[in-house]
Amino acid sequence: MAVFVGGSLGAGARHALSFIVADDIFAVFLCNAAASAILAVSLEAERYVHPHLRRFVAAGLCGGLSTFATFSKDNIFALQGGQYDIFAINILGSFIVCMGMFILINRIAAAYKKCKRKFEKTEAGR
Amino acid sequence: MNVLASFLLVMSAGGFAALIRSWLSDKFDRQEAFPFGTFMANMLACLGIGMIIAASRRFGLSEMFVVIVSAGFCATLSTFSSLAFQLSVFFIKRHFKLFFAYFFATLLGGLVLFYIGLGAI
Repeated sequence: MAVFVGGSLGAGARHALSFIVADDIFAVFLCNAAASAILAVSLEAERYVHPHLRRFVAAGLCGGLSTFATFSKDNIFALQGGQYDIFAINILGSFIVCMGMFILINRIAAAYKKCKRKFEKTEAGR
Repeated sequence: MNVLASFLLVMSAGGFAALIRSWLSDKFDRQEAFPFGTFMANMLACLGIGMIIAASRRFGLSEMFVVIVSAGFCATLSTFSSLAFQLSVFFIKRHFKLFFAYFFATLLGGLVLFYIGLGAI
């Protein structure tokens, strides 16, 4: 149920964004980047969150908001239209930014946890 | 009314697609291994979106129906966020063979299957 609701909301948000953002390819990029950021944060907060909420966000919301099928469609149409620059930029940009979200947020969370541990040690030592 | 109806139908289709993708992932994705569940969901979605576009061109389907199937069902059946997460895990853990295999299989497979879908109808 959580996945169904999350998926619906994610799909709805993506559909809404397609009306708001003029360029279709950029709209898909924004959806994928946002979904990756949200998923990355939710994975770092996994321990503090109820499993249903986790599935709602990960499989539901982020899965619904992001799309690989529309991404592939855009790439083929770009190729067929001779827009090789858009083809290359869309692929490289999407993968680098989306993967980058996970790596960046993982690094930030790790640094935060390290600082927190150091602070707690100092406080305990007093 | 039309816009509201399209949203509700896209969202409903999306909900079902998310359930299917989630089931495929639970059943076939394994940690530290090629995520066959997510891969299948993505490949089926690419094929599907190609076919609905081809069907729309061939049979002149209603725009609403095409949007529900493509943006609602197929786009939600596929996922980029899980794909990017899985790839980043392989990359961080230095499973480079898995990383490149999954990356190229998904990227090329998606392009090829969409193209096949376009030509299938």
